[in-house]
Amino acid sequence: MKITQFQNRPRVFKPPGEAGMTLVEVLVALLITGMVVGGIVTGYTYCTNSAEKAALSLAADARAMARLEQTRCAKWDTSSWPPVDQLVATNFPDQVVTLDVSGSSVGTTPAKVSTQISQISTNPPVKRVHVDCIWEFRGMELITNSIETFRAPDQ
Amino acid sequence: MRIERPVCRSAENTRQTSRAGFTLAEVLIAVTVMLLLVSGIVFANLFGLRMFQITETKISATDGARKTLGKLADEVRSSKKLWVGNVHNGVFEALLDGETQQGTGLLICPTTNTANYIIYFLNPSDQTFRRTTSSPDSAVILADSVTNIMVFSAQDFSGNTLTNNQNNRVIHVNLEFYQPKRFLEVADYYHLETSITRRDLE
Repeated sequence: MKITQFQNRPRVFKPPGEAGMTLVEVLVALLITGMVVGGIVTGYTYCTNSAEKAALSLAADARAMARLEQTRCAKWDTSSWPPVDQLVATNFPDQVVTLDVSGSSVGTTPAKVSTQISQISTNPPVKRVHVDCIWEFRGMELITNSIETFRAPDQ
Repeated sequence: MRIERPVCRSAENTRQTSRAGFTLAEVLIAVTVMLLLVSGIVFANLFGLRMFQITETKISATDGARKTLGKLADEVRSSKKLWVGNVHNGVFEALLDGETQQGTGLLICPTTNTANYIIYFLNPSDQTFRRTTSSPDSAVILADSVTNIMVFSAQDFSGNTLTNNQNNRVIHVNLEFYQPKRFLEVADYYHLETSITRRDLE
């Protein structure tokens, strides 16, 4: 007597073009799609953040430049008697300003503008004016925009 | 005794399966997956559009404002004479000594010839910020939707508004814009402030 053991159950084979997808395949496809969509959304968010950072940086530059212009108008006359010198650090204390950024729904970004003035030469008289505008980007990164110039007395 | 070997019916089953349609469960799952995909793509596109609007507003406002103020700053720095005043019916009236040096217009003379001038002014009737020169028909609109009136002021180095036309002074520019929400555009508020000093101090 010969008994053939039936080990493999009969399986239904479909031609390759008509075969369905398994659950694992569907899940993997969904995962990949989710990653792609997530990547696109992250890209858009990164672009928006970069635009805001660039706008804030330009605004900080403008604030530093405005302070520098104020130091430009301080009277420093060495030829008069008594000499007049308003270009000293005590006349330009630290100030807190708001950075100008477009957008009605955005929060304000404060910045600290500090000015350092130092005499680098007495003959000829020349002073160095250094202005820092320090601001924080979304509470994560501290950024300083600096601008510097040299100034001689009023002619 | 004869035991028959099991007959493989795979060929028969294949023929039956190939003729069979989708089951309800298959169709439902396919529709669900399709909906998930389409909604994900639509969400990504809508999100991108919104981000683009915000980014474009920021970049274009910043760019336009800095460009306008950059030109104004260059002209103030290189000027020979300048006055803060007001423009009434197309005529610039400079503020006199003793008056608070704060107004809607700024007259700049690039040379010592006062017949040759540039005027920056706010037109309150249509809320536009304009630039004109001594040449006829040279008025151009630089910005619109300006909400404040006193755009220009002359200040000392500490930021105090002056009451005379003294030589050492900073020209302070303050512009506030508001544009309400429009179709496909978000509402926009922008405050722009800067100070400029004439380089040619006597």
